Order: sequence, then C-alpha cells, then structure tokens
Amino acid sequence: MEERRQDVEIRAGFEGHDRRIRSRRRNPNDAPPWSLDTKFRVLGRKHPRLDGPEKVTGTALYPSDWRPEGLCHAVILRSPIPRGTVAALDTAKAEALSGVKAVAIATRPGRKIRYQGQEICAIAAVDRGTAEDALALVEVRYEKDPDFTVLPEEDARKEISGIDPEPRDLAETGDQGKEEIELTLSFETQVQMHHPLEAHGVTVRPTGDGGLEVWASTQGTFMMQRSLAQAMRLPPNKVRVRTPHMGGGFGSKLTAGVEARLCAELAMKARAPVRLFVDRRGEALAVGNRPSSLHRIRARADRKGEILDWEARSFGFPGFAGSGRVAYPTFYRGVRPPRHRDILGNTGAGRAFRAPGHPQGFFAAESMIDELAYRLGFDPLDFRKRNVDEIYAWQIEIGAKNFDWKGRFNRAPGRRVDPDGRLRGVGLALTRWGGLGSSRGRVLCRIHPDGRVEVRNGAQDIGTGTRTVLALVVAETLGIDPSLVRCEIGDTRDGIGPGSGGSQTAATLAPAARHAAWLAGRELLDRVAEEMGTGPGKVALDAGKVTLPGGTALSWKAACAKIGAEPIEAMGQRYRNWRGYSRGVRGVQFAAVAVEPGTGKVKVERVVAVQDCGKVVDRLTAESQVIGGVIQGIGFGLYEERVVDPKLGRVLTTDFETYRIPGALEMPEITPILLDGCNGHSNTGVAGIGEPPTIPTSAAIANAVRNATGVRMRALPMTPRRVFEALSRMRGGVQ
Amino acid sequence: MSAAAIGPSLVSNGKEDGREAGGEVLGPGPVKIRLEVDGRVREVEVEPRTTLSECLRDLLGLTAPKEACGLGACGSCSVLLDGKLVSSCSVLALDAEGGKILTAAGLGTPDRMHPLQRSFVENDALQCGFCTPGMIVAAQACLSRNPKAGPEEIRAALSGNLCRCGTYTRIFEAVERVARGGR
Amino acid sequence: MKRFAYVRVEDAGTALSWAAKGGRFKAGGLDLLDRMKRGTLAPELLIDLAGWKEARGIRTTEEGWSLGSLTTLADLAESGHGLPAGIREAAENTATPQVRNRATLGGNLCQTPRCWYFHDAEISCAKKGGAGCPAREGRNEGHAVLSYGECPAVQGGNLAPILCALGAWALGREADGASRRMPLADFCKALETDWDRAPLLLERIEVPKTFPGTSHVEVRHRDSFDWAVASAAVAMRLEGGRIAEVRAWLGGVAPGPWRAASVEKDLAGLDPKPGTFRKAAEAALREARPLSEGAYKVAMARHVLEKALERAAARAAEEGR
Repeated sequence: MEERRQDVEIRAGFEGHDRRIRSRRRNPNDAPPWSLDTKFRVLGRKHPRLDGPEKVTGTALYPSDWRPEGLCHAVILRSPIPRGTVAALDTAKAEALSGVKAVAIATRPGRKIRYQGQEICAIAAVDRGTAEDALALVEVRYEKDPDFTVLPEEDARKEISGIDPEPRDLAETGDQGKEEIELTLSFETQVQMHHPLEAHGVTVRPTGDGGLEVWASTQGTFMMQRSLAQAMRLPPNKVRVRTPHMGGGFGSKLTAGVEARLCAELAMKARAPVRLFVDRRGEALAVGNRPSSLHRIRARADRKGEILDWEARSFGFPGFAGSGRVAYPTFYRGVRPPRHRDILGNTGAGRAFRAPGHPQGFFAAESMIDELAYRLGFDPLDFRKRNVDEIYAWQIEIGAKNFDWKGRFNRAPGRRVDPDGRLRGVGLALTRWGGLGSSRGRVLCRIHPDGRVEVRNGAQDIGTGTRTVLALVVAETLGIDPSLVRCEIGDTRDGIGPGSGGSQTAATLAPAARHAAWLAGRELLDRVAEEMGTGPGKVALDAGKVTLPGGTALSWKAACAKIGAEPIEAMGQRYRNWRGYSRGVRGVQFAAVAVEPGTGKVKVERVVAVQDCGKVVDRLTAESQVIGGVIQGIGFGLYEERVVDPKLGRVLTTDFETYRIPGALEMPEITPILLDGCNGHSNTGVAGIGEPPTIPTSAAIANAVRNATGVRMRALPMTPRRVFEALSRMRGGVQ
Repeated sequence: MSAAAIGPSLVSNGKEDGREAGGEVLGPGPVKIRLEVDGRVREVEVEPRTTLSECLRDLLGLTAPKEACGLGACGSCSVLLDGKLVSSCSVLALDAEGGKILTAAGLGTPDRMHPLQRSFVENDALQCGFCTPGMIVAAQACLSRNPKAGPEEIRAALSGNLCRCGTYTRIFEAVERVARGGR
Repeated sequence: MKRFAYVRVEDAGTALSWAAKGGRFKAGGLDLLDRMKRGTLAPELLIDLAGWKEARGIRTTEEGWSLGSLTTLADLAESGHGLPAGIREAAENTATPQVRNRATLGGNLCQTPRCWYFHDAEISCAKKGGAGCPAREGRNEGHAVLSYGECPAVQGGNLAPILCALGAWALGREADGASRRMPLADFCKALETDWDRAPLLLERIEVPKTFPGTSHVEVRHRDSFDWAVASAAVAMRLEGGRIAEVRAWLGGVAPGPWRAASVEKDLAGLDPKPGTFRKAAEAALREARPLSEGAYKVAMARHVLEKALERAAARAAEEGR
C-alpha cells in the first residue's frame, strides 16, 4: 500500500460553520476520511430500510418467533415480597407434573430477596400452560423483612427540604426587572420503564458439541455471548448468539439477564430447546428502568443574562442496584454538574435507558435556566443564546425560524385564553451527546463475480436500521447502486460489533464497513488490472465503473466478471477515533403545547427537533430515530410513571393499562431537521443519533407549559392531575 | 375499557337443578378446531384455555401476529377475525372456531407487498418492527371500512396499537398516502 | 390461565342449566379472560353465549330501542338505528377498536370494577377473601369518591351511566329460567354488592325514547386506551325552552353508576343557560368523600357533569326545533 502514516487535512463541520482539521493519528491502513467537500452519491438521501419488506409482512424472524423442533416453554416464578429471605423452596410437586422438562433455581433457600419480582425459579414444560400449572405447584416460604424501602425519594426530600426555603408556584411576573436574582428550585422525575414490545428473553438450543445456539432478543449480541458463556462456564465460541431482528431494548437488553441464564440452564438440563420470554408484568418489575431523580438547584443570574452562580444537588434512586446518576447541560456557560448521591431501595434495579441520566438532569437544569430567563424578563430563547457557543446559537436560529418562535411565543402566560378555551405556549431545550463510536467493530465485505456485494457483521439492529446503514456506506464507497448490496447481521459467527448503547452502532460500524469496502475495491482494481494486463495503479473506481487507461471503462458487473471464480473478501477494521470537529452531537427542540385549564390536560401540538449527527447516512431512518426520541420524551414528560405502594412495597403499574405509553392520539406534528455535516473523527464521520433526541423533549414541554400557563411544573410526568393542581394552587394562592 | 361475561354467574335460587344441560362440553384437554388462516384451512388441537395468539404462534408457527402484553392492551397480536380487528391474545382459539383469520402475512409477501405494506416501507413507518404487523392489520381494518379515511379517522383506528420506538407520525403518513390513493 | 372446560350454548335455558352446575358465562370474554390471566378468577367451565340469538342485535320498537346484550360496543357506536347520541359516545369512547369489536353491552354492564390492588392476585383484600382494603391507605387516585362502602373500587363501564340516565330496563332470566324485567339501575346496584353474582342473565336492554337530548362526556389521562377519570351521562327533555326533565349519572367515581339526583331537582324548570349547569354540578359533588388522592377525580366529575349537561341541553334544544 502506498500510504504512509500521514496527516490528512479535511474540511469539517457544517457548511458555513466549517474549519479545516488535521487528523494526526490516522492509521495508514484506513480508508481516507470523507470531508465536507466529498460529493456523495448515496449517503444523506432517503433510503427505505432494506429489511422493511420482511418486517411489514411479518416474515422477519424475531428471536421470540423462533420455534425449533421439540421446543419447550419456560416461565419464571417471582418473589411477591420486596425484601426478605427464601426460607424454604420445594419444587418436587412441580417436577412431578406430567409435561415438565426441567427446573432451574434462581434464589436458593437462605438467599436474600431484594425486590418484588426477583426470580425464584423457572420451569420448562411442553407448553406454556403446563409450565404455568407447574409454577403453581412450587412451594415457597418467604421470611418477610418488614424493614424495606420502595420510596427512598421521601428520605431525600426530607434531607434537602431544610436547605433553602422554596417559593411556591411562580407567577409569570416574578422578579422581573431586577439587576440580579437568586433562585432556588427543586425538581423531580419519575421512574420510567423501558417496555420494549418484544420482551426480554431467549430461546436456547443445545448443540451437539456441548455448546448453545441462542436466539436472543438483545441489543448486544457479543455482550450476550460473553456474559452467557461466563455464566454457563463455557468458552465464548461455544455460544452462538443470533439476533437477525429484535423488538426494541432502549438500553435494557445489553447483557444476559437472569432470564437468559435460567433458560440456558433449563435447555441444558432438558437437553431440548427452551424458550423463555419474560411476561409483561416481569418487564415492569425486573428488567430495568430509568431511575427516578430529585434535584435542588440554586442559581444566580443578572440582567445581562449571565449565569453568575450555579449550585446543584441531585439524588438518584436506582432501586436495589444500578446507577441513578444524572447529567446536566454543562455546555451552558455557568452551569455546573450537580453534587450527586444515589439512594438504594427495594425495587427492581435501574439500567441504562436511552441517554442514561440525561432526560432527568436536562429536565431540571433546562427548567431552571428557563425560569431564570423569565424572572429576568428575557425571552428564554435569547437568554439561552447568550450562554451557549455559536454552533448552538446557529441551531437555535434554524429551529426558531421553522417553528416560528417569535410568532408563537406567548407574551401573557396564563392570561391568554384561546377561543377553544385552551392556554397555548412554547418552550425549547437543548441537547448534547457523544456517540462518536468505539473501535469495537469488524465488518466483512465480499464482492461476488456476478457483481453482488455482501456485507456481514455480527452485531444487531435495535431498530435503527443497521443493515441499511452498512449497505449504504459500502455502496457509497464502491460507487455502486445500493440494490447490489446485501447485508447480514446479528450472528456472533461474524465480525465483532458493539452493543447498541450510547448511540454507538452506526458510528462504530460505518467506518469498518467503509474500510472493508475500500479494501475490497482496491483488490477488485488489482485483479482487473492483472486480468487486463494494464499494470497496477492504472485503473480506478469512479461512480461504480472501473476506468481503464485510454479513457475506456468497464461497468461494475463487467469488472466483477473479471475477478475470477473466487469472490473478493476484505475484513474492515474500526480504528480509533481521531480528534474531530466536535466531540459529540448537538441539537435543540421546540415544543408547542395547549393546556386545558378545566382538566389540566397538556396536549403537545408541535415539536421541531434540530439535530446533528455527523455525516447523515440514511436521512429517512435517521429522521425516524429523531421522531422516536421525541415520542419517548413525550411519554417521559407527560404520561409514563411507575407507581408503587410504599406500605406493601409493590409496584402497581404492571400492565399497559396503568403504565401509560403514549399512543396514536397523543401525537403532535413532529418536524425533524437533520443537519448533515462532517465530523472528521473517523473515515466516515458518522455520529450516533439514537439517544440525543430524547434528552430535551420533556424539558421543552415543561417550558412550553410555563409559557402557556405561567406555572413552572417541577415534577414529571406532567399528568392532568399535577397540572390541574398546580394551576389551582396558582389561581387560589393556596395549597 | 374491557367487558365481562354477561351476568358473571347467577344468584342461585337455592333449588337444585335437575335438568340435563345440552351442548357438548369441550375439554379440559385437547380439542380439534378448524380455522382458515391467511386463506389456508388449518386443523389444530388446542386446549380450551389456548388463546388465539398462542394457537397461531405456538401451534401453527405464524410469525406475523406478535405478542407483547398478553392482556389485549397493545395491539401487537392484532388480526382480522371474520373481517373484524381483534387482539388475538384476548380471544380463545375455540371462540375463533370456523373463523377466517387474516394476518399481515396474508396481506402480502416481501416480493408482492400490499399497498399499505409498500407505503410503510417507503415512509419508514417502522423501527424495530415488532408492532408493525399489528399496525398494518389495524390500518387495513380502517381502510377496508373507509378507503378514503382522513387523518382523524386513521389515528382513531390505530389508537389500540402501541409503538414503543415512537414511529406513529410516520405510520399516519404511510396510511394517509394509501388513503389518498398516492404513493 | 388454569385449565377449564368450554361449552357453547344457543339458548338461555341451556346456559342456565350449565350455570347451575357452576359454569361461568362468557360473552366477549375480555374482562373475564383478563381476570383469569391475572389469576384472580379460575372457573372450571365457561359457557360461551355467542350462539344465543335472542340476545343479539339492535331493534327499534314503538317505545324506543331493544339492545341485545351480546351487541358489541362497535355496533353500538356505529349502529344506524338512530340510537341516542349519548349511547354512541359512551360506546365509541370505550377502550380500543380491538376491544370494541369483541366487548359486548352485557359484558360492559357486568364488568369487574377497576382497582390495581384487586387485579393483582398477590395482594390480599376483602374482595378476594382477605381482610381490609390496601387502597384506602395506599395509592388511590383512581378510586371511588362517592357512595362506596368497604371497597372503593370503581365501576369503569361506560354504558351503565347513559343507560341508567335514559331509564333503561334490563330483561333477562333468573336462575330458574323465569323471565324478569327490572330497572337497569337496580340491576347495577345489585352487582355493586357482589361483582360475581348478577341478579339476571342479561338478554336485552330496553331503552325508552323519552329524552331527546343525551350526552356522554369523559376525561382521561391519555386519549388512546384509557379509563375515564370520571364520566358523566345526561338525558334531558325541554318544554318551552325550559328544562322539563333531566337525569344525570356519573361513571368512574363510585362502585357502580352514580345518580346525581340533586341535579334533577336543581335544574327542573330552569332556563338551560351555561352558568346554571356549573352550580348544579358543584352541588351534585358536594357529598363526595375522596380518599387521600381523590380530589382530582372530584374536580373532574364536576367538570364532565357540567359539560355533559351543556351538551345534552344543546341537543335537546336542537331536537325541539
């Protein structure tokens, strides 16, 4: 290869906000990076996802759909108590039931119970009904420990309530016009459940060689492979994980949970394939959540719009384990991270959930910033622009124009009633995320003599369109039509890939795919040159054609026909990131709401989401992710809430009737505005977009409610009851 | 929201009932039933407690109806039963005896997609795709009642189907395009 | 679900004889299967009523309408029989399209009250043979605020309030097969004491044509698939522009449909001006006794009652024109 280790200078950023950057650490074997000057033929446009036809016809095989010959079905027995000990456990009657194939114990007698829903044992039987019948025959004696906590929030509230007196609901007039103000407010967010529609679970088939074939609904095939192998004391290569499709995860399906380990044990004991998928109630109790949080922020700001002082304390409540840490928008000048403490309790453990810690922290901090703006007499949009960098200011302007911020901003919050009886207002909030990808990726590219191109990687598609992204990057690199490219993913026999967490999948795999295609393309040229006897370096790939000396060219198919019988195969690597234009992605969201004062119901009417994500690969699927982030943010902001009974120590919202996920009738008009750019941190400059768009939505809605009503909502979700009560308090001045 | 049996059971008048009850008692235990699924007649043995979704997925190996909540609250297992949209987890297989069932797989295949399916693909009205077969069936129920359904009608018709990835607005666009006769 | 047997019947007599042997009636089966899956009910025999022809269909009669107890909510919402607007609104606001296609009128009237403690088989309460009520000292935002006894679970069925307001009659069979006709309000009242034992096997509901102005209004947290925080159904008749007769019933606030009796007296003879209704709605809720988290429900009951009165009055006036 002719390249040496060298610096490459490219133009990066966004048109109008670009600069030249040098990448000093580029691996000489990597494909050259794309820049703002690259003329793209495939990327940045709208491409329907490749596996769409299988998904819309119900023929795409999800792990929970797989039914191998001789399949047994398993169910889990869960603890009804939040804290205590398993005093005795007898499964003899269950095992004796006809049709029962195996029993696996999760919590042995003498072991502690730390939350309601903890797995006690699992039973596999010939069908689901029999397994359930057997479960009813298991005899368990629990020793209940009455000293449990399922609402540690109460303790935290007490702890901070002595610090500062807090104003009651803030009227819109406030301290307007003062030189300087100091404000102390507290904020709370609820426990949000992931509830992917496909439940957590696996189907495990023992293979002849003592290994396991595992069809897993996972967002990390290789993490599932490693953790399951470890749990079963098998070498990783004896566990083959397959996830051709999967039905959502949002952070909760990164490693092998208890259900996967139990299922593997059952399959090994039964010497038969066993299917174990958690039921919806189990999903609500035991497979993760976004922990609740509590914040107390004291801030000082002046009339020039400067944040002079910011001191915050925060608490997270991750249940019996996990992290409840929160993140603040510290890109605002003057905003500092909170002093944080987690308090554990006897409920299911917290897990990573789409931008862990961010929606919680951004709701608190963006609400605080917004309130400072109002109290100082600023338009909250102008106040923000004074405290952020020019890229944010530019993005805010783009969104404001599309949204018509100036035309919609309510200058008389709480006093302007529209003819339909509603109060309307607008709000905004900013977002920030990293998501530049890791070096955990190997992608195979195979060029067949008939011109078809095959791309393979072992990672999964959590719903973002991984297949499509890899295929498009390969098509772009080779200059060919995407319809020639087929992509296979979700099998740990193929090259390693990341878990779909941290918005890493596309950012990690796109560069490896580009590298693979680039290597394969060079090999193609070498073979064509040899075949045509032109000597190396005289042929080139241009727009899907192979150009030859003398101004002639071969079509893609004609060129591929010259490679001989053996396909060309290249394994692309993911090299480490270079210093790019930015260390992450930015965005801003605008929300317009209508509040019904008679009921407290908040309806989001419109959301404009400006988002950058480095190089846009597929505008269609990337926009879908933005829309999805906004909708989950609406759920977090207005509807979703886990309710527990503190006396019983039990979760009461264990179904979709009581745990409210937004549906078709809750939807606003959503306008995603993707800013296509070049981040220059990898050979493609692709950055993740899964997480950032869900971060600011609830804050933007809360700020819009403030603009509509004059009331600052300080707890999520903003249910009709909470809003109605806040409105009543302000009207009546009494609590 | 949901509805119960009619007169759950009766207040007894205390008199012992000596009459012979008519009708054939099925189960507990296997019962053979016949269904037409996506145009194919299928015979299958079920238990009285087998739900239609278990029958379709576990016994007949169908993959189009998914099961997500098991309590009729998410729409993932939606099928058309004799032309009516139902959650197949809330119907017993025995209730569907002799019935005609249509799933998303019966509407079209990857090579010959139904216009709704094509519109879903072109508009990217799916992400993880788990709710998609149910959404398609609900949309089909809507458009078969009113091929020119407007935006409000479409939203109402899809209000029993949850999408956790948050694809609703794209789904509305996909169905509206078909209703407008456009592509 | 536990194992059970299943029998199809085509007439009331057969159904009743199976019931006498311990069977449980199943119509749409939504509430029933829901409970069986949750483990709060385990009947050994289900009596499938789907083939009972006498209990099907909507008929118009001299006096009004006769609604088969097996009529689905979808059919009530979309029927072309000129059904009162309030009935259509109550039906179309129920649950989801999937549920409305299966759920029946009879099932909606008989459905189990909602309570997240009751519907959790692992939580003990008086209604499940235990002692006491965890909701009283627990999380009770959704629980009854009016006329509840030991158990504050609320009836969530949408059809009972409007049908009671319209003065509907329940037609059916007693356990010995005798036909009986009783005011639907009495039927509902009897169910309040024991959800699992109805006084009649419901065959048809007769709805008189007395009231030209009807309405059903509800408030929900979420518009897609939710139970009403509170609903109000009103039936009204005007004479000479004044309120001659009015019936107002609330749903979602009590263990059964709740009659706002004070409204009937307070509004009689009055001019149906908007302000009038607010006062009447406030007076009607004066006897509300919310539990710790129930104040919002009281406010919403007031709100929907006022709106339902307004809407019914407007419709009554329109009919009179």
